[in-house]
Amino acid sequence: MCGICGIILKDHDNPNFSIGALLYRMMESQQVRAQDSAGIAIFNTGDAHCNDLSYNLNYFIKSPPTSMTTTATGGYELIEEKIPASKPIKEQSLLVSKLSKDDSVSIIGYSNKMKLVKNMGLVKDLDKKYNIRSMKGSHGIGHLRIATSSKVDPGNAHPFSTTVLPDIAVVHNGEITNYSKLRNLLEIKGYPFYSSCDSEVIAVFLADQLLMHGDIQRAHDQFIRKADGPFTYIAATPHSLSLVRDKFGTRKGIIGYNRGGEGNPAFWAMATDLSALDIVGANEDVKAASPGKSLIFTI
Amino acid sequence: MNNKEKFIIRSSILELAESGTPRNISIDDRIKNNNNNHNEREKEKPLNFWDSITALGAQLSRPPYDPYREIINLEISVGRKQCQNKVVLSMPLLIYDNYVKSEETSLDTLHDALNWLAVNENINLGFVSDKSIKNINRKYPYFKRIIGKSKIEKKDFDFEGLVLQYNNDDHDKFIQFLTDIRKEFKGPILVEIDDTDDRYINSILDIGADGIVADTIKITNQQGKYKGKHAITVIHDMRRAINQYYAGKENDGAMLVAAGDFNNTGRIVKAAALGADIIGYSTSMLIANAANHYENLSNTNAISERIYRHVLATKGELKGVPAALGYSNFYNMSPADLRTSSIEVSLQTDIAIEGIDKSYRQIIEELVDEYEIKERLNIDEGKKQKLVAHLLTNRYGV
Amino acid sequence: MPYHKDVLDIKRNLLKESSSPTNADYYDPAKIILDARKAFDGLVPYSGLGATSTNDYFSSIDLIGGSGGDLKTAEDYSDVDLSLNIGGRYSNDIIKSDVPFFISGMSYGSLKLPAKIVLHIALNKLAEEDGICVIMNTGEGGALPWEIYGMDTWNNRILEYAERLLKEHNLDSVDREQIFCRKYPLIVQYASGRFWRDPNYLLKADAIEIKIGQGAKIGHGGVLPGSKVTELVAENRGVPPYKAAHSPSRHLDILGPEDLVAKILELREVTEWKIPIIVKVGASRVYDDIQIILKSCADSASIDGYVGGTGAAPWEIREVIGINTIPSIKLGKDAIVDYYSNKKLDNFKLLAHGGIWDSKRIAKCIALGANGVGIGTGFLISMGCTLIQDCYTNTCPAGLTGSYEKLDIQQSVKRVINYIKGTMFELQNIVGSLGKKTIKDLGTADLFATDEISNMVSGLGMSKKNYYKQITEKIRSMDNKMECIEKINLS
Repeated sequence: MCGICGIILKDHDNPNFSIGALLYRMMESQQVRAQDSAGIAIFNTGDAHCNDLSYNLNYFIKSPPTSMTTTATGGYELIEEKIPASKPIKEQSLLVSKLSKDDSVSIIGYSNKMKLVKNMGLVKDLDKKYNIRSMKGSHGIGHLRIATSSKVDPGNAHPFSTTVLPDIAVVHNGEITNYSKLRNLLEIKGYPFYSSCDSEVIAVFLADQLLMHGDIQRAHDQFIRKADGPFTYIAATPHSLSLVRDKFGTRKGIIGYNRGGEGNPAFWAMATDLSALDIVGANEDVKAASPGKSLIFTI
Repeated sequence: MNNKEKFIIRSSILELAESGTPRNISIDDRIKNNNNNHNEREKEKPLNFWDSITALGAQLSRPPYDPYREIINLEISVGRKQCQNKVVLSMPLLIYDNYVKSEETSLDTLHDALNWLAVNENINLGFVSDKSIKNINRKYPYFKRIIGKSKIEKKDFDFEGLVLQYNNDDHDKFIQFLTDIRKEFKGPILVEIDDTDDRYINSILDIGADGIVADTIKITNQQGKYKGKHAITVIHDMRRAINQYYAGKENDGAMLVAAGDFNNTGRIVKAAALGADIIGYSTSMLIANAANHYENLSNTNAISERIYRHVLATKGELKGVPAALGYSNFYNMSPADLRTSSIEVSLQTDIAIEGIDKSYRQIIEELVDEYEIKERLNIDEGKKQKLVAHLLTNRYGV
Repeated sequence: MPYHKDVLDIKRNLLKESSSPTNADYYDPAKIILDARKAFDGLVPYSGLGATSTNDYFSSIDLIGGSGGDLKTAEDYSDVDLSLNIGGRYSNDIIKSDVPFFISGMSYGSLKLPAKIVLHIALNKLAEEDGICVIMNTGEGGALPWEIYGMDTWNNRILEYAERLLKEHNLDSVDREQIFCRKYPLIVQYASGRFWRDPNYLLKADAIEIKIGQGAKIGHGGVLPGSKVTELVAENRGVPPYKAAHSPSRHLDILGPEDLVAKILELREVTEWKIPIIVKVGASRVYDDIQIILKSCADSASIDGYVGGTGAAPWEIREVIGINTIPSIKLGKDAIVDYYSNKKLDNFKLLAHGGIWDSKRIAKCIALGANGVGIGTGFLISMGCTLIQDCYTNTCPAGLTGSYEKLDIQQSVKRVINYIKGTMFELQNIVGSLGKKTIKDLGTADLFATDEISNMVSGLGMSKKNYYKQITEKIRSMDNKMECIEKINLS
């Protein structure tokens, strides 16, 4: 983990403004410090599938080497498999379990209102492949990774999502040191894990909490209490965007406001570095999240 | 380095330092020859098991915490969700009055020390004993230990917690006893067991016991599947049994208390990382440490003072180690933080071997998979398990 | 924190009791002393030097080929190349050494001035008279004035301070020319306590070592007990005298990989990209740490096994945390091999510390994958250390870390020089008798392990065919059993 960023529009019904371009600019400014992998997740993109009840299962498949695969992406293809809502739950989970047994497949999670793209390499490679700069939506998060533990491959890149609950995306800067204990507790409860990165436990933990009581604030508070180690993370669901810091505030986390103008809408930006806020002009009303607290925007 | 090795190292280096010319034999070869001559014990004796386990500290991939700057939590609340009067302990220790007969005066010194700790330092240590505490001026939590078939009346509830002894000769009677007590007593109830048999643990926890106590010395000495094994195996298996009890459910905090030969901070930390929530620290060791070599045994005040200081020093150590591992909470340590330099330890506890970061069982399983691919066979799962078991028991030495 | 008088009594009684054979098994004298100290002081007990490892694998790994890697040979192998270069990956300059080992960081404060002067004069003499260049590391207590300035720029304040130091330690008679020169490369340590006051400490260094931690106290800060912080030590470090000098457990501005990158870039700017930068970590999560160091722009990484020594460390932290030196070298090498699997190799060096005091051990570490080795306790022993591990109490009987005994400087200089020369000759003999011309040609093919655990831990690879043979036999016997059962069922 290294650079995390988040953007949320004040007026979230503006379909003509691409927040993907903003996220791209923020990530590019931090690129020099983290070059292992990049990823973004944008919500309420207005694509056709957002409106019906079907889900997408996102996963990576290791494609056989051809002359077309670039070394930067390492030959991994990101697949979005559409599962129509008419298919019963049992068939969906059969598909997941079949895929999880396949070694060349790395499952990411379910999405409906969210578009998640990530891969190894630099953010400009990601843009070349998926055209991030033109992506529109109400809010989104982005991440640049320099690995501290666990391997560098697309399955371990952020944002992390889960098959427990659709449309959760988490980007994370820091270490969850009691990761194996938390993961163990969640696995005993029956939840699946698909990568060896400690950030995945945030997504599964939040999904478990939301299933129990649906209150995102309480979910974050529980995580801050239970998790150990230095971390700052940005979590996004279709209706919320939150910046959360650990109880000692060891990692930075700040938000800033850009009031817009000249046809550009107003928005809030979140990041760990002031320079990332500057580059998108979000330097009004800059404040930090308090240690052990979360700053939540809800739609 | 024991004294013999220190002597060899020193004399060999000084020989080099005096002459400046090559020696005849290196230090390691000299130590080896020395050991062969004196028939040293093999290295894998159980006494060395604890020392073959080390913990992984925090450096770059995670930053260490500093007890001077960040608050390291050692408190733990004993009691599951439905327990109404939970007991909060300030350290993961229960002072366990074991079978050794201790004199009245020595128990009094312990009582004074525990009171001072509770009042002066706000350190609450639990005391477990079958004897009743005469002093009514008690400021620390007391767990009454019921051995055999004694009965207790509600009016005698002058304790904060209970420790019962499970007897598998009389399973149904015990279950009935436990059910009755659970209805009457609102504080935490811990049950001492001898076996990791799932049936016993599941039924004990189902009734509402708040934790399991494993006396590792007793368990590894009596006839049964743990005879001759080591305390670490017992802790590992007990933890696995409790985890299995919670499969598919919400974990509401049943504890594992490990009692036995844990009387220095290193062993407490390793046992906690292996899965014990609370460690039983034996009374006799505590008093002996404080007063063993102290001539003036009649000066009970001085002995209490020693016990008091010993506990304060232990608290400092118990804060320092998790901070150095990168945790702000003592109870966040897990077996993933441990490594071992002994194959036997890895076999009994699934701790990863240092340098490879996999347990011995995992290495053998991967070996069988590689063999399967190399020989282009298709071995079914049951056969694979048998192969792995065979390789683990017939360990091959180079 | 000197010993309480009662604790000394306990120690004496223990020596009597623990010497009987029945008690030797259960009695752990160290443990009993430890408890007694806790009971008397109420403080976390400290200890000096390194931890005791149950198995450091050195005695079960041997060199093969030639005549077994002899220390003494009839042939002359004095032209075997043992040199070590550090730097060049991102730095413009490199530091060179004629031997693959250097003096590990032992700070001024934990070592008294006479011991530091002995090491300094010995290295000077080796460089001048024998042309052998050996690198030294300052340790975390700052550098002494002549280490920074040599004979060059002086101002009156520093000269006065130097003369005061020498007078206080009764070293007036030593030749000034020998003391105030520096003819060997010096690595300065950039530790979390930042114990220096002079910016020239960094600007005039030959290399900088960023110390994230050391093997004896991984994740725990260092401390110099108050009784050892004399006025001069305090002035050198910029701290108040006679109060314990604590260094934090981490650099307050390095909390993760991106902070390390920023710190290294900052130091490079300050030193104009000239000098090599090394990062030192204690051996615990070595693979991840070395990967992070490779991705930051450091020139070299240094790992310290948990048996590494120190002046003062809390007992439990020292004994419980960390892994041995050999598995740490293996993990470091794995990290380097994985990193360079799709990149061009460059001058990244791996240095190892921790209980390496012997030429045979040096050769084994280098064959396993280290490029260079740091020696600390070995040098102390050559100067007379008796290994009683009381370094923090200021009562060292050899006069190295305590001020009550006097160290014979001239004799110790001779001993250190002999130790270095002797180790060098032995290394040349070992490498030469294996048929190699340079120590860089030593590799894992020159080693073999005598038991299963050492084989696995050192990365020498398990001899899989013996395992395969066992599997084949077992499969055959299982199939036979199945056939028998089928036969019984059919009949």
